[in-house]
Amino acid sequence: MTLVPPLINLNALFVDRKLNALFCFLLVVVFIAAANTQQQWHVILGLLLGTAFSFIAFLFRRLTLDGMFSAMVTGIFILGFGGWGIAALVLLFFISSAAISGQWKVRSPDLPVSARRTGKQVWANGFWIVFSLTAAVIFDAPIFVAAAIGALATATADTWSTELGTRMSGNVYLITNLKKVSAGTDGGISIQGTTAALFGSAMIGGVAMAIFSFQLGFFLSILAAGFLGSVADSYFGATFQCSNRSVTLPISNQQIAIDNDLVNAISTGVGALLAIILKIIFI
Amino acid sequence: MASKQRSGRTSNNSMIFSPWNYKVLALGILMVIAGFLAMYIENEVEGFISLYISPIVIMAGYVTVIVSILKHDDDTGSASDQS
Repeated sequence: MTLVPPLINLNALFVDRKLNALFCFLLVVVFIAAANTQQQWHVILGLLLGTAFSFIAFLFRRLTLDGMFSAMVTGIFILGFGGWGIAALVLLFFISSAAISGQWKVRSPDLPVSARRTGKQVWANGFWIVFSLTAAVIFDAPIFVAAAIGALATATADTWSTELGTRMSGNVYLITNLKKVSAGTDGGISIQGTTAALFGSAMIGGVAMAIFSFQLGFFLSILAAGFLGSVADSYFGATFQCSNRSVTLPISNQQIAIDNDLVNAISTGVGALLAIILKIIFI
Repeated sequence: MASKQRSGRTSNNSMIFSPWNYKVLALGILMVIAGFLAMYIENEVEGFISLYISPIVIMAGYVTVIVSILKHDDDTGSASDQS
């Protein structure tokens, strides 16, 4: 008789609330120990603006209560440690994603709660951005800012390709075995979706280059990191989500179910890592 | 609709930390405070405590706080409640 390892339920672990608590603690430590005066003022401003924007998003039925708190924490880190430049890029990501997915219409009050973004979804896209910005402040290393932009480019490329790829008609193939699948399948790729990913990544890279006055090499590394990150997202989606496979963790011998949020978190991490590697190699 | 939302929220209302988490959190914060207090009492920039003891105690305190936040009881984490 073989023993099946226990399956970890990420929803029961309250990952989003724990990340909120962890990063609130890190915020206090970094604010006191590592941040300069300008960053401290940005953190205070981020606290005000992040709270206001998250609360408005909650009132307009875009976020759940947990999602609101997660957005507040990520907002403070993005404006506080990334400054106006990264905050502008994140706003660009939000506005472009909302415009593409047609979310401008005011939602009816009887919409189900599941239509709001949850804390887990906020952290899936924002974790590596916040982590990289914290590392940039602690180690005083601008390369981590590039990692944050790489993660953001991946999130944008993934959102654009998903929204445009599923809406436009065209042939969709599974990335692992190139078999034809229906549009919207996890891990499915199409010419339209791939082009949208390339444009989304290029937009973030181009605007970042203009804001931070970087060289062309920086633009190319962000473009490549964002695009390859979204390809990784499709690959992981096809490998784990499509077949509902779970992974056994090496040390604790527990199984973990890979859902869409975890795939997003892994792929934005891949984008951030690629941005660091490409920046070291090419610049 | 209000009743629907209320019933949906009850599953999320359970505490994320157990008594163990709070005890370890308090221990971590105490370690950080003790580290800084030791430096204050010694009152020397290059003293033995300031250079060797306090940094280790404070870092250990930070790590303890992080562990206390992230550690979760296995009973509530494993998916026996997946149904």
